[in-house]
Amino acid sequence: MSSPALEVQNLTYMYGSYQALQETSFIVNNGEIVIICGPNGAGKTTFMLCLSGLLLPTSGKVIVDGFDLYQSERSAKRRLSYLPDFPHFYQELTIWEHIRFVALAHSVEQGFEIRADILLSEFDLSEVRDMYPHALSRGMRLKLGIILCLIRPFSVLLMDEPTSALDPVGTAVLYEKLSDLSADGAAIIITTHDLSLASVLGGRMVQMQRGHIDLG
Amino acid sequence: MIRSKQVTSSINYWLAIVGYDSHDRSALTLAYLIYVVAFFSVWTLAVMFLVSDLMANTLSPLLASQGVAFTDIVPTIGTLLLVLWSLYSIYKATNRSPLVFSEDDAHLLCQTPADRRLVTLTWFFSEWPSSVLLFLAAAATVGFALLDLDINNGIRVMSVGHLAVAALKPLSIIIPVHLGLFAVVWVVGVYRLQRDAKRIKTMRTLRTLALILAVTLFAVVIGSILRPSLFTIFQSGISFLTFPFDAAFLEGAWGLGLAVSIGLMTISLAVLWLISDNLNLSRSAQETHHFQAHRAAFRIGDHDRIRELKDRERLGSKHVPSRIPTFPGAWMVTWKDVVQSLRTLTISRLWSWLAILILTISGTVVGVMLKDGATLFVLIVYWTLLVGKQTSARFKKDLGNWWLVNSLPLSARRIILHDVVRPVFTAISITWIALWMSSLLGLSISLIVVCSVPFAVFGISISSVFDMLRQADVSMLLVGRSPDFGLVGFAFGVFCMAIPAAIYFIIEHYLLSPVAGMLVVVLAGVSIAISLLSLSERQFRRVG
Repeated sequence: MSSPALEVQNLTYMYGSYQALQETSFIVNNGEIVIICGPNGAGKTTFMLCLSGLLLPTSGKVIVDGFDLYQSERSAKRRLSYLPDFPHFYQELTIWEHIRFVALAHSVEQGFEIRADILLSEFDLSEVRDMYPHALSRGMRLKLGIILCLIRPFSVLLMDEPTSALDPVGTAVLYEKLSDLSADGAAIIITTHDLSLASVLGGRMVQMQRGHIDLG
Repeated sequence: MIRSKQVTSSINYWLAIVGYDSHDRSALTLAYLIYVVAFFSVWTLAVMFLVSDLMANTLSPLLASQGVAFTDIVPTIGTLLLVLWSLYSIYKATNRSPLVFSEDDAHLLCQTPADRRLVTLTWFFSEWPSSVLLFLAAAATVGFALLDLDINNGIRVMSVGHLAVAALKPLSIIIPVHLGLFAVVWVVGVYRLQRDAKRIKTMRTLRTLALILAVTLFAVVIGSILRPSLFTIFQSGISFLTFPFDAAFLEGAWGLGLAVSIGLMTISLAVLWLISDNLNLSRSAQETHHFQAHRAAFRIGDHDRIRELKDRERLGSKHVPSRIPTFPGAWMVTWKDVVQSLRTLTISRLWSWLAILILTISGTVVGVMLKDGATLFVLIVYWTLLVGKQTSARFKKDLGNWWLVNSLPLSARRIILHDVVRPVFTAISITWIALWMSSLLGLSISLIVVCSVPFAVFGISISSVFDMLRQADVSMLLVGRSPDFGLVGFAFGVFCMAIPAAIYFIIEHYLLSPVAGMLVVVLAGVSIAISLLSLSERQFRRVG
């Protein structure tokens, strides 16, 4: 039997004496979409940061495609793609150069330009491909972040509130992309306040309250 | 109201710097405020007296020996400085609005039917004091110097009355003249911001004229300093401009000078009042909110933010894709670094590298020739700080894009090395060039010192990286704010310098073989470098 795409075991994170994540455990299988909802301060972003390897948890394990994120870091990170809620970019690189940097750094050489052109056109950024990120609106920067996540190979996609600043067209394109990715076997975890997302994407919705995931 | 909030916040900033708590209304705090004001007033006066004394008793005889009377050049130099300042301000006003708003202020102000004239004059009179302050201090100082010369020429006792007259006489003329010129600058700025017309061509002409005039005047000043005989010809040429200053500083015609300066001020203010009715506040706000952001960053000492804002302005909004060849894999980190470095290359950034060269040469001269241990220590400390800052700058930028960098399928070691190798190599080359230049000066440089440079530079660089990682906080990194290296990084850096230095002194002191010394330096350097790199690598994974 193949291992799940993502397995979280007793994940705990403490901000000083405050427990932001409480012994959280859950499994996401290949092709599954998990939507994490919860009020502000529930610990969604902290959870996503721990899953992405950006934040070292106080205790617990995250296993990506059978690789421990904190032991076999490189192998696990090759399979993880993460989008923060407010992505920050290099101010000296243009949109196109960001895409080229991320794609080639992940050794995606063949056909990356065609794929990048398609993604830019779908997210309506073709016209601004030579612009610097600081000249873009927040929504456009979020779209660039989404493109950077999608241009590289991954088996687990983590997105922290990806629709928070998107226009309706951008949101629709994102939904379509996520459905396609899920059909292709990628595991997708999204945090959001948009409760309609689960019905649109047909994923599993879980609630997060005070650092604890309620699997229903 | 918006402006008064800006002014209050500005005053509070300076008061906070001197330790005054504006929220504390106790008598003790008030007494402290009075003490601070009195202290700085007395201190300023003391400095002014000191400078005036230097002018009267050192500069004046020096000029006299060149055949130039101090009293003759004061009005000319004063006029030149004021005219140059005005031309520079006009040049700036043709580019950017003199009214500065933050983004928040702009939202508030542009949506209200506020009288544009009132807004202009409010901003004008609240900006003016900070602009005139230096001129007032200079005028009063020159007044004191002239009084000092008068004492030398006859007055026996200097009374408070004498001092008051010496300061107030020039001030009574400089204040209206400066106010008038400041208003002229604002007239240009406000004229450019009028709603009804495109004035690009006029502004371009004005800007060019201001630039040509300023460069000519500057050349004349430099020429006059280098060759005082030129000064006399030049002085007669601009005598009509120097009239108010003649009246301010020299004997006679004070009343007429005062009348002329008040006249200039009144006319300029009247013109400003007339044309500001049609001011486009939105455009002004659009042009200046970046400047206001600069100011705010400067006040809190956020130099990274200032640099970021400056870089943004310089970069503009778009760029054609870089032609530097790309290859898949870890090379892309170096590719990114090269593109970033080329696009943000400025004289100030080059200067930092040049400073390493100068410091190394100075250190060699102080250490080898003068044998001054204390000064050498200070130079080494500064060199260490500079090398640490320069060689870890690229890594610091990458930390600010943590979500991108951390997701790369590269080991922490490779990311760190790709970021530091290029600047480390540059720092090593510069240091070696400086040592070679020192040897050309006839100073003997030990081979142990030459051998230890790469290890010291690499060690300092990795120490800085380690300290940044140690202090890094994910929530800050995700908004692009990465920490500077601090005391720990500096201490590790000094340690990397101290090991080869100690080996060098032991070899010198016990007259041991230099080859053995070099071997020990290489061995110690390699072990320290590897240990620090492993430490940084571990810290990279522990960022939280």
